[in-house]
Amino acid sequence: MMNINLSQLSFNEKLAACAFLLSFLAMVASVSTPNTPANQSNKPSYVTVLEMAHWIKNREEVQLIDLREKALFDEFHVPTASHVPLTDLLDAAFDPQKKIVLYAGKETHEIQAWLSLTGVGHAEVHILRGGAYDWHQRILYPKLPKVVTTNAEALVSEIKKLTNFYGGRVEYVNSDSVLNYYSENKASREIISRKNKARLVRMGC
Amino acid sequence: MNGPLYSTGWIGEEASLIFALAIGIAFGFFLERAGLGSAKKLAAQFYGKDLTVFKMMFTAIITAMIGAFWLNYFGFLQLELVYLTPTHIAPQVIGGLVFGVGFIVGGYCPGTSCVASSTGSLDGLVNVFGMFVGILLFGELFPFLEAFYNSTSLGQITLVEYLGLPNGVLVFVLVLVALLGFWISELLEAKNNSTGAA
Repeated sequence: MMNINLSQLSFNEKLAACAFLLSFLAMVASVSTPNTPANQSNKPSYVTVLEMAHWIKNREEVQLIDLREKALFDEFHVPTASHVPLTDLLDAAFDPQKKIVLYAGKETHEIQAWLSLTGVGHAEVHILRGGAYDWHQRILYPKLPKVVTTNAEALVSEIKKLTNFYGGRVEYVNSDSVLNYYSENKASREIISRKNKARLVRMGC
Repeated sequence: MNGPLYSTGWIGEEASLIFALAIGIAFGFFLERAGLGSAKKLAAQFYGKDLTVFKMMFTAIITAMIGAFWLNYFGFLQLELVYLTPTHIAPQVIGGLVFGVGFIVGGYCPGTSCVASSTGSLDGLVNVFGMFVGILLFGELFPFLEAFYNSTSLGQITLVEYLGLPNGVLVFVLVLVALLGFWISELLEAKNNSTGAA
């Protein structure tokens, strides 16, 4: 390999050699400096609406921030949330002792906000998974199974208590799968208006 | 569009469409120039005679992967903000099979059928027509397919997270796989084109 004259290689072989070299360096770089922030994928920390419901109920020291548009915030927001536009986020005064939980309408906005707040040194910043939508659908107006298996009893009574606490209403349905949400750690997808739908489809390809 | 300028609200929907048009024209131009507007060339890969599509696709993948790794490493790109299509195992396996059958029967994949139509190819136009009929059918049948469409979800996951390896190691492994694949495909091409009567 060492003695090969570069001019003897075809263009494609040179490109292949470049790819090999760059990827080899990539491996060396990420193995030798495993903990540099730029090298690792920087995963945001999430809290579920269920955890959040307990935190608010137990009056834990949490600063809850709603990053959506003002009109949406005025229409509905998670209790105790305060409205901060994404553009004003770094100017807003947050208590460094309290943890911050944020949510927005768009995942990219949440991650952006999470990155900038952790970037300026806030130690404990979380994203509320699913935001106001999941709060509405899973805490305030959850669907729960009519017939509860013994395994799910604790979870169902926990949700019922929280729904009552926040003044919502439970709807009972003939399906167990409605409980999957609470163990899946995945935001439910908001498909309400035509506009959102078109946007979702466009994200695909 | 799911580009960073649009998702983060730096440009509006109209401007994003202009970007999309420019990128789309460039994409189509290079596909056509690479010879992928020809159904013969595309179908030849299933007979092991011309693996241009495989080589081109894998080249694009490793080029983008190496670019994304180093841009992220030096802080020009935040990989967390890159939109990932969620993984749904069963629907994507079925989708891949349908895609493959369509590809070998029609001779085009969706992008290349548009490229072929733009050069005036009739079979390209028929493929594009079929694609829109398929989109319409899927859209209308979606309520019946929705449960399956959302089944076996792994969320927005990457191989790095799934295997728990450092980014760079996976980059290296995939580049090795690609280079090995290129080498084998050139051997295959040489073998099939020398023995084949064509």
